[in-house]
Amino acid sequence: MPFKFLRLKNKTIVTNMGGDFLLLPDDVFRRFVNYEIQQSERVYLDLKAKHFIYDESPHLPIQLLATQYRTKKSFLRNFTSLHMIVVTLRCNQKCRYCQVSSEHADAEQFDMTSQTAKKCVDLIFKTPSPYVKIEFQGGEPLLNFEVIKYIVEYAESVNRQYNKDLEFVICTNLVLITDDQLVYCKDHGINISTSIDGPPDVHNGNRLTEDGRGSYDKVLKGLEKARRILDFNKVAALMATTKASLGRFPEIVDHYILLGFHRIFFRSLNPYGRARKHQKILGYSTDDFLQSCCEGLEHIIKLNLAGTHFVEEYSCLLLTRMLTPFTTGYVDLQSPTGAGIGGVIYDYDGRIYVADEGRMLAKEGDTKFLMGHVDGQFEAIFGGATVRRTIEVSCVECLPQCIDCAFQMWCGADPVRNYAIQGDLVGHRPTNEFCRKNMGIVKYWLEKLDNADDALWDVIWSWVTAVPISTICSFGMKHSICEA
Amino acid sequence: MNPGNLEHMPNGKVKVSLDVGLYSRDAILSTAYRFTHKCFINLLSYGVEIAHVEFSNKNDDKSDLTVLVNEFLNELIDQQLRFRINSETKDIQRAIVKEAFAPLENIPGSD
Repeated sequence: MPFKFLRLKNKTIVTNMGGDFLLLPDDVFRRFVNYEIQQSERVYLDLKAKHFIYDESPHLPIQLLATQYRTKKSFLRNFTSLHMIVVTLRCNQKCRYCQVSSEHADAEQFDMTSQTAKKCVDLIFKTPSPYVKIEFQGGEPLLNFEVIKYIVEYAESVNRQYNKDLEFVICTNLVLITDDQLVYCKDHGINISTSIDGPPDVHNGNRLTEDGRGSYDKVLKGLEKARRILDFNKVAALMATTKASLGRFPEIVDHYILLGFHRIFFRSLNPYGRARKHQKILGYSTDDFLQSCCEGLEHIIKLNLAGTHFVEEYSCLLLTRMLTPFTTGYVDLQSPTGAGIGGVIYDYDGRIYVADEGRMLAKEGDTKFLMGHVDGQFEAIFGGATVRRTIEVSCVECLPQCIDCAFQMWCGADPVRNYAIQGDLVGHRPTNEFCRKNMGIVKYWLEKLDNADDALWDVIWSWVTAVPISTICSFGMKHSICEA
Repeated sequence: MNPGNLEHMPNGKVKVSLDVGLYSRDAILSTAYRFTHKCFINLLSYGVEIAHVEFSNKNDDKSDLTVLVNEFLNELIDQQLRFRINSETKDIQRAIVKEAFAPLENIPGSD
């Protein structure tokens, strides 16, 4: 059967079109590719069970792999479900790594109007997706809360006709949040997503208010208020890694636990906007990031083994792809890319981009990723040249080096990033840091899985199934991936 | 020069000859792609029996290219193996993709 392979430290991984894999000792791999594996060997059964070989007819393995492959690509069926709306460019903070442009908190000319907002919602409901997530962004979106309310209520009224599964999220720094705004969020089921980079010194080094002071204390006040009024689980947090974070991931994890969070996303810096401008102060190599990531993951695993259910989001996503046939809705790591067909962003002035990074490039004068304007027609915007061009070069099944990569079924392309950093949509894989980062994290987990005992498998499955470890029965959940 | 031999040129370049009976042009090019950030690579010729590939340092780097060229040759073995596997399994791969997207065949506008 078709498969791909990659030499690792002591073994060779083989993967197939369903995303299944086996780790084979090098001599076993050599015998496998030379058709020398005997039916009496244990590895023969593993290879057959995972559809790397077949006995008499390939008919059944073809059907099974086709079902897995179709499942892996099922995110395509729904088209664009994530709609990010920049309700204002105004911001009350001056974060050092901000990838978006922001204007002074008083500059109301950079607010989205209700007329533009209505057109955004009308377009959003043209999507065939039965699920729609509207994410309010900025600047600081709370500075234009009136338009947020308009969008929420108009979308709810339109949805009475379409009956889609509708979700709202406000991405806010929480510094300005009021009780009234939180009550409104509660009444309309709006979730909150905020940024907390770690302990106060780390956070305050990155995320500054307009007067140049660290925002940590104010964020915490907002967090406390939000949790008091909303359900505790309605508030999520993300971190961004800067140079100050390196070597401190375990400490940042502990801080997240102290603040009551059960999840973290080890997010690397995006190379746009102020982050690119402040590269020397904030930036770091991919290898440094991976080292810190691994230290953080080791710490998280120890916590889980000691009874604390705590998940690293990116790893959870990768493990889900590695261990199940199911798709994960992460638009930044899809094949074809989710840019445009998984998620889009509507700027305050009604322009629509395939991704926030594309919007950032437009602010720098490059409108390569501009899809259109809310005054246009859905088909012309979402089926136009910009989306098609971006998608055409983002299937890892067709990209140089990705085409042969053993991690292909777990990975995705980022043509916007390739263009921003390497100068073209396809990118140069041997020097591509996005590729390097993803491969580094996958290799970390492959090494873990190869040596995992029952306890670690329980942890891993608790992440993939989203069921805390205390309620999982370990019998039957082990996954055979290795051959002695 | 015998196939597989490295010839160190006076100008610091290294030329290697490859048996085209063992290595396809596509395998050589795929391997070269993976090394283009480390050195300059020139596929000089791809003849009936022998292909010649030339390696040279980038910029003012005067490092010995021997280790890098040997890494290239190792990687070439894997690239050739990938081409063999693809060649042997491409019909089944097409069948899997066809089967996977068969439910779309009757959707209007899907062609």
